[in-house]
Amino acid sequence: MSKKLALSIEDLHVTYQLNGASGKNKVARAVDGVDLQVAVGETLALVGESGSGKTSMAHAIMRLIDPSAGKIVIDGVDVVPLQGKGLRSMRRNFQMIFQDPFESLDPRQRVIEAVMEPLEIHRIGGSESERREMALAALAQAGLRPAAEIGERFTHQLSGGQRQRVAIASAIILKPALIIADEPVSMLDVSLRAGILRVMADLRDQLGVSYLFITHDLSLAWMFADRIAVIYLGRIVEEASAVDLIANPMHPYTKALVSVIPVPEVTALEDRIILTGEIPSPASIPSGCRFHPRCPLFRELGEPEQCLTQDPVLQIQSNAESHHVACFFSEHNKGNQ
Amino acid sequence: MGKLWADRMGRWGLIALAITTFIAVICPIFFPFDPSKVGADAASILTGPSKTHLLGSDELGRDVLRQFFTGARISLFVGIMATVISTIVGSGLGIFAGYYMGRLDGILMRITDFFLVVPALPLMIALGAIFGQNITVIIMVIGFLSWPRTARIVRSQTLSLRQRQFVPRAKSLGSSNLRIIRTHIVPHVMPLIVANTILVVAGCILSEATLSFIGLGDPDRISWGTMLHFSFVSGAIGRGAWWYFLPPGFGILFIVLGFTLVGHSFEKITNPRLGGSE
Amino acid sequence: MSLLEIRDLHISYPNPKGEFFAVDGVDLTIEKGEFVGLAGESGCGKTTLALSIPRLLPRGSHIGAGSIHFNGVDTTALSEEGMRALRWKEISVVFQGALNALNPVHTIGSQIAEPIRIHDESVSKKQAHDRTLELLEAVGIPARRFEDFPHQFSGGMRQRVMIAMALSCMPKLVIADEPITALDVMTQAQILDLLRSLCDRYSLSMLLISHDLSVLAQTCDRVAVMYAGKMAEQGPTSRVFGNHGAKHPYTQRLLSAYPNIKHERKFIDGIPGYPPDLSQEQVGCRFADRCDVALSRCATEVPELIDIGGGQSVACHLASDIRAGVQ
Repeated sequence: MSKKLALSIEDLHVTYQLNGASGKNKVARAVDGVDLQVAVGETLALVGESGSGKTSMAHAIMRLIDPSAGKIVIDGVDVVPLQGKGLRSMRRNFQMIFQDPFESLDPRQRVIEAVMEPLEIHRIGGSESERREMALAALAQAGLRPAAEIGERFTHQLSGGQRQRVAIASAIILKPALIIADEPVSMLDVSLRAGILRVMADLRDQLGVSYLFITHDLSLAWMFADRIAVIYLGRIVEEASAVDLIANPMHPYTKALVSVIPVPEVTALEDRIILTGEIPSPASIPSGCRFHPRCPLFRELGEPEQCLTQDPVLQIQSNAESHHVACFFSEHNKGNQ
Repeated sequence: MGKLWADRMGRWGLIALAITTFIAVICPIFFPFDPSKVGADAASILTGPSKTHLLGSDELGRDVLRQFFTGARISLFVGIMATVISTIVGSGLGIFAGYYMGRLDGILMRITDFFLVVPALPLMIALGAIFGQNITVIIMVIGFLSWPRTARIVRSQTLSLRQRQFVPRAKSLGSSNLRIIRTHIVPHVMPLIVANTILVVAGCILSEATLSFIGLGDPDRISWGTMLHFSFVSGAIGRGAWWYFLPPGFGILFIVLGFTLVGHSFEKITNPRLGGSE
Repeated sequence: MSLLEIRDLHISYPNPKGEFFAVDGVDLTIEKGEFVGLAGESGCGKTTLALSIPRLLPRGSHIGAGSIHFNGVDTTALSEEGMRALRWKEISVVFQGALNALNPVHTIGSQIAEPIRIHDESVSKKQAHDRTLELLEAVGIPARRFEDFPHQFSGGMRQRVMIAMALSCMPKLVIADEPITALDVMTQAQILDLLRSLCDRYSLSMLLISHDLSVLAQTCDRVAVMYAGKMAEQGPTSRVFGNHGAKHPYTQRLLSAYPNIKHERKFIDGIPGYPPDLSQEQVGCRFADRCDVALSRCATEVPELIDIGGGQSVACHLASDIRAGVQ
């Protein structure tokens, strides 16, 4: 691919040391070998359940936690080896929108202060008044009008939707190449979601921002992203264009997830594939294919040896361009759409 | 301040503090105490209140009222200076331990625990005995032995702030740890530190009084505690010379009460959750 | 006779300026064995309405005008003692936030067994134990987990424990307050299926509260949508979510705020503005400010909830006009 990349992740691993009650020091492999690319101006949705490792990945990319191995190349620079001042100055290039707008803003700050803060940190803008102008422009861009009036309020005086707009304004003010949006609308009322996502989409169109859109909601990912990567237990199991992945899921896990997406209309319940059990702990990842204990296809095929012993890698499917699946029998799965 | 005044507890505390501050700051200017101005003869020793000595005289025939004014000044000075040390050390350690967590927290908190369980009074006596009866030493000793409580309180508040999402957000904006502490942690713990500081002053004044009473005070700088000490060793109590020991005794009670009331009132105002549980 | 009949219910909370009505003249009926979904955004009054049925409202709230008839008895007139006899035995609740609602120091088995013995003293320990095992099986928890503590369960499993607790006295009505919020999609589907199957198996009536209209479409027999303390629309799921469609502009807008993967990909719509501040006096239709098809009378006249046929009723001047036009 000759496209310029905003983010390129190679073989990323994030592990946690668990000090269990059993006394043994176990290692949880939250992110277990992930490769991912986001082109400039592209939106990639990373979709997974809680415990899938999607949040660990976001935090590793943001360098809020240290990855145990792998490369994270943002705008051409591997940020993993960076420390201290070098890392801090690189942070201009990648920003994050946090899930909970009630927690992510300092309640003692005024809105304008929260938005000017990144400028002060990176010493952008010649004077206080220049910074203020930039902050007001960013607030307006995030849809907070009248910006001057809202800017003077304290962050705790705003509604959830307004706070998330403040968070967006302070993320874009540094003109980052990449924004990681960690469930940006999951805490908001349904009627307010579109407004926030619309602002994010406009920024994508106007500024060419790339997004890594992290969500548990496949239908939202389908609507908002160009491509979707599905993560299960620290590993990407399927990756394709958003439309293709929903229309034609190939991994048995994705297939099940797609089948249970709630739609606001009356649908036949028989088509749903409801997986039993829950996602295992990242401290005890099953051998072979990590999905095999819950996999309907594995049982259907009579529990093939391969699934128990070999770890499938993410491979491009011969008949579908840029549709990657980590399953030995995905071709088989394709047939019974 | 207005809120403190509106609170009944806070108002009485403020009044008490205003009176003692007046006594400590203004009165000694007009009625200075000269320790060398001893009585001329035996008749002027431990005399009761009279026109010349409104609060009588001590065992050397010196004026007790003037001594009382100066004593207030020394008590307050030692209490406040020791508190400054205690607050700086305690808040600093508390914030750093709570913010950085992990190993640094472990080490700092073990040190804190050590100071917390060390029997403060015997140690103060020992240190006072080693370093001599000097006001600077007393301030240092009290200051360095009274910070652990502050450190614990500040640490736990910092730890809970550390879990709030605005800390990783500030970090991902590119803030350095020191900047995060300055802009996002300190403003939040400040009210707690202030409330605690006011309470610590009360404790430090009491500590000073205790040290001085058992004879470890600075003999050249008479505080209320020192006055109590001399009234005790000179047998003023046995001779019923109430004018010598009651004023410093009530003085200590009054000032400690003042700081305690204001401290609790402030705590109640800044931390509404404590509201009903007085 | 319906199992539950709420008529013109008003519930107020005190606020500095007097009081405000979180529920302001709401009707709701639940038949025996019926699975009803109650939807609406935060602050619309859906939880207040639901918790008024077993009278578990927070202190300070006040049930004003209106009535709640449960099995023919007006519960608003019952004494606290009379209500206690109904609670759990007849009406039980699956609370939101399963972790907080479970006691961390007791095994889940003992927590499920507890209400059985409280409400019927003739039940022996052994019987309560057997009953608990039965309930665990019914909600899909292996019997061997009887002695486990709440922290040993995942979010989905805890919610199952909560459901087993709610069923312990075999009530006639189960109120589930946001039981699937904060659960993963797959776990949501599992829990919804479980609730549906329990409803059918024991012919329970169920009131499922959710802010998420889309999950109700697949589970409920009937849905009710609230907005700002009022009922906006209610009707059979097959009509509201089916070809016939939602008739209240709010329901319509809300439905188009969800991506629908069964249709062509398009950007979701939002609803501009914010819900009204209920502590202020309300005039006219409460949705009028945010409504793009509002008429001039919407600003002044409160629309009544009127039957538009097929069991569907709508509180909108436009809908009544539609009906009037048809007739």
